[in-house]
Amino acid sequence: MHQHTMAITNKVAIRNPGASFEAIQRHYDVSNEFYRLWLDRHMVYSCAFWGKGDTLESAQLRKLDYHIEQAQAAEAKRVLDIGCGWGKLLQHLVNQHRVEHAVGLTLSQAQFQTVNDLHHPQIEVRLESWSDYSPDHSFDSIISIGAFEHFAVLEASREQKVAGYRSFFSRCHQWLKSGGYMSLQTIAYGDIPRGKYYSDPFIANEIFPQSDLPRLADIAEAAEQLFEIVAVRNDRWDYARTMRVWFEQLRSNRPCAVALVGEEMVARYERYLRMFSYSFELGAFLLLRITFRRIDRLRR
Amino acid sequence: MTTINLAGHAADSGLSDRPSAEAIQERMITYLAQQLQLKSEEIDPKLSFEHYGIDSVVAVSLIGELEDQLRRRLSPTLPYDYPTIEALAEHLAQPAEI
Repeated sequence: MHQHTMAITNKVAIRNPGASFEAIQRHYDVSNEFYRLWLDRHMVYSCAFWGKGDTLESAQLRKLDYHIEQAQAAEAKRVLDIGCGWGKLLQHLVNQHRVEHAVGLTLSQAQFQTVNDLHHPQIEVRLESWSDYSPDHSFDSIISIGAFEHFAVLEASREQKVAGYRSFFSRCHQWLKSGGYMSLQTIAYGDIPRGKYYSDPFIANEIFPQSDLPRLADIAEAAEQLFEIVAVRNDRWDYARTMRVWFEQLRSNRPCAVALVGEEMVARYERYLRMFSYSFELGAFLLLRITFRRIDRLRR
Repeated sequence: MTTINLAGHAADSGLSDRPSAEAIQERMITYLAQQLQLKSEEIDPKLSFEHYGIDSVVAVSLIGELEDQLRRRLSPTLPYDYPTIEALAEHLAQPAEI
């Protein structure tokens, strides 16, 4: 083993293959107050992990704990969170799981500001794409929840998508210590024919601009000879339920939401949340939770 | 079919405020005409959703639309189980099973 004695500065620049700052901010920077109306109180904006008797809040914490366990991140020195949202995982890592230093990446100005305002000595947040990030030190674990959905643009061919995902896995491989684990959660296309992507201009233009979903096979191919897959879960019913709860919370706070962002925006989010919930229920969308282990001896 | 009342809406307990099959059918035709950029009279309620090239995206949007009309939770598999406007409207006009 030699790779961790050297600096891990990126040797080759990568162009961000996915959604731009602008595209991300169109969705995530609508208004923190608006998101607070329908997310749980920790503002975890990704699929929860529902167990018996869970509330949305406890199911979200269960999800964070799941990824921390899969990534073997508890008590680690350095953990990277790619797509850190409003920072609950970062806080959970350092406050509950005795992680020494947690680094979060986000393209959302509002999320960056929220985490930065914590002024937590063990948390570092960066307004930066993974494609531009160049850490000074390696990481023990990497977790990425609900960000991979933005790593390919809608117009990309399958080959281009896989190439983009592969540059993501190459970077993670470069940053992770020998034997390190990575836990990834993403929505993926399910029972939808290849070549016919989920062609709803409403979602593509108004909800998640510049973003297209992966397929499990694309992810697996992109990670070949960089990471071995340890576990894959498809918990699409968890997202059908999470989206439905968000929808219902937004509905019950409708007047406040309209006052904050206007009728049109609220109607748009209602439509999106309900459509996604249905799509998970039908199996058109999957919710993948994938555990990866870094391959240390690369065979050329 | 299990249906759950939407939060924030009164329970759909009685028969009185339940929309008729005709009203449901009309809502569907209006919505689909708009989505498919057709005139309402060009849509035949006896023809299958498939006939109109309705994909899962339009189908789930339609179900969302009907949830708001009926004020109860519906399953996205309904257009597959009742594959015409007429069949779906008739089914939905029946009392909800709780």
